[in-house]
Amino acid sequence: MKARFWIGIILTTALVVSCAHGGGKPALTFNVAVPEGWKQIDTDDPMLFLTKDGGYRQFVLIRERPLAQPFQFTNRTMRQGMLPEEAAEIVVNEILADSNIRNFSLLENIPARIAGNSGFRLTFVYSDADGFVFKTLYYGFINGNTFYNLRYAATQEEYFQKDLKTFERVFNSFKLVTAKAS
Amino acid sequence: MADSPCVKTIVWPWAACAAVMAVCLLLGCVGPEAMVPTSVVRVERLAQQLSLETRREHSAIAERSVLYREPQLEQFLEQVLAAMMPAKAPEGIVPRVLLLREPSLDAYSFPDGAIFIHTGLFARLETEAELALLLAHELVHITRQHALRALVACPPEIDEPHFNRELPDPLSWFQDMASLSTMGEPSDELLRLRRSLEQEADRMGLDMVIQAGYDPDEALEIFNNLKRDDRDRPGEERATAILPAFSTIDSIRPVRLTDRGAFGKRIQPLVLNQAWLELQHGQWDGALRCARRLVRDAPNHARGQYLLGEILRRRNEAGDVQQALTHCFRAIALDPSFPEPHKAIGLIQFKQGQTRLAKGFFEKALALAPHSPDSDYIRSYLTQCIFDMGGEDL
Repeated sequence: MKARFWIGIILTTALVVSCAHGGGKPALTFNVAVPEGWKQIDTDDPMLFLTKDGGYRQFVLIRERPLAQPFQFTNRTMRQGMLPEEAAEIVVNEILADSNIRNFSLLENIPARIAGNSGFRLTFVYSDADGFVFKTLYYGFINGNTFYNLRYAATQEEYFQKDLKTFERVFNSFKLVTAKAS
Repeated sequence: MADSPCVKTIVWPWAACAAVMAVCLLLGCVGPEAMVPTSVVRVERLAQQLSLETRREHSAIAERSVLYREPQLEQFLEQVLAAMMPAKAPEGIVPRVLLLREPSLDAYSFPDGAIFIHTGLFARLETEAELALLLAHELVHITRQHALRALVACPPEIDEPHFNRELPDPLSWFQDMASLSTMGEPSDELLRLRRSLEQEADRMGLDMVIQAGYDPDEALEIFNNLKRDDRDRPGEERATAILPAFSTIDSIRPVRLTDRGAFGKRIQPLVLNQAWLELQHGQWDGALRCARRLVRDAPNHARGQYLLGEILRRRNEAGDVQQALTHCFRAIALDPSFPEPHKAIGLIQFKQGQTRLAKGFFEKALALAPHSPDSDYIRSYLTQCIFDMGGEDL
């Protein structure tokens, strides 16, 4: 009962996650406001994974990756000075080369501003190997030696629409931490 | 997802006659590859399982792969396949070729007659004779029931696990038999059998190619072509291994002289498509090889020139950008209404800080294709150009 109470407190409080001061996991270099009722799922990777009803209903994933780190399926890397459109093309090709992703359909690929940075926004749908259909909004931009991406995905249109406003609040709260914690 | 290969009509009296034929094979022509003693009941069961597995695998391929469809090319493939077909094809087998949009160099066949060729392999073929040998090789696998023979040769106690594996037919074109692990640890005997089946497909396939009037030397070039792309593949040695069976090969006068230029032109759309696919997969060498082939076969092909320029622009290694500019300007000279090379040149100049020059190319690209999917990006570059020029054009 006590545990449930504390979980309730944690989940119903809008948290500002300052990821620059993580414990064992790599220090993240961004801040976002976690929406009320959403859970943060712990991972060892430099990412923030949030969901309200479980990853197969809806999730928000914010990730940073070094530019030099090759993508898994295409082995391509990003580099400084790359235009947002070129970064978007690498992301799209990576998704296309992922054999777990089926029926990928790119609905939109446009320039976007993310926390004052020039970037891109993709909207796409795909199904996974288990047949779940995901609709995804994917923002990405390069800052320094890091590629940041923010994505919102939901398995059904109703979930997608329902939580879109919530994601927009997360998106608008996204800020880079200017100095990395050592 | 493109049309599923399963949509094609499949005739299944094959399963019944397969059992009878397999027994004949076991009794009469096992040759050096001794098979384990087996019963008619087991062969029948394996034939049925194989037919079920074939259908399951067709569905799996349809799920994970996209068919490359091009009616003219499909018609051409039917013609070449018809020239290779034995006078009397086994009943119930419907040979047909399906192209899968995949970057890898692979081809394989199924007992029902379906021959799958990956576009990555097809785009490497230089002549019709090479294609003929590839198809003939697969036809031998099909008509000689190699898949069933390989299964029958396995110890009966591992019959069931065969059908739990990912791919049912490891008798795949150019596969290194020694590296196959889809069936756990195959015995030496089984590996020998698989090698002997591949060699049989090579020998009989080349015989079919010669019977059809193709030049065997030209056909055998396929091994060297693919060796260039994948050094682990057997190249000249594989061709050399086949030739002793044809002691009179020098006296063969091919009647079906193939025209490299005509073949190259026929597969241009596929090669163009393949270049984009390899680019998507980050395979610069493969993409460049396809693009250079297009430009070699058709120097006045504007799309080929642009494609080569675009791949170089994206790769961006030393000297690439200058070459990219050359090919993009050539593409514009060949087709001034082609928007993409205008944008590519604009991007190069934009990145070099030549915003005034870049602006002109972006404007032209936008004027030629105002509603293209990347028009928002081009507008954003134009805005940036104007901003960088100090707003003098505002």
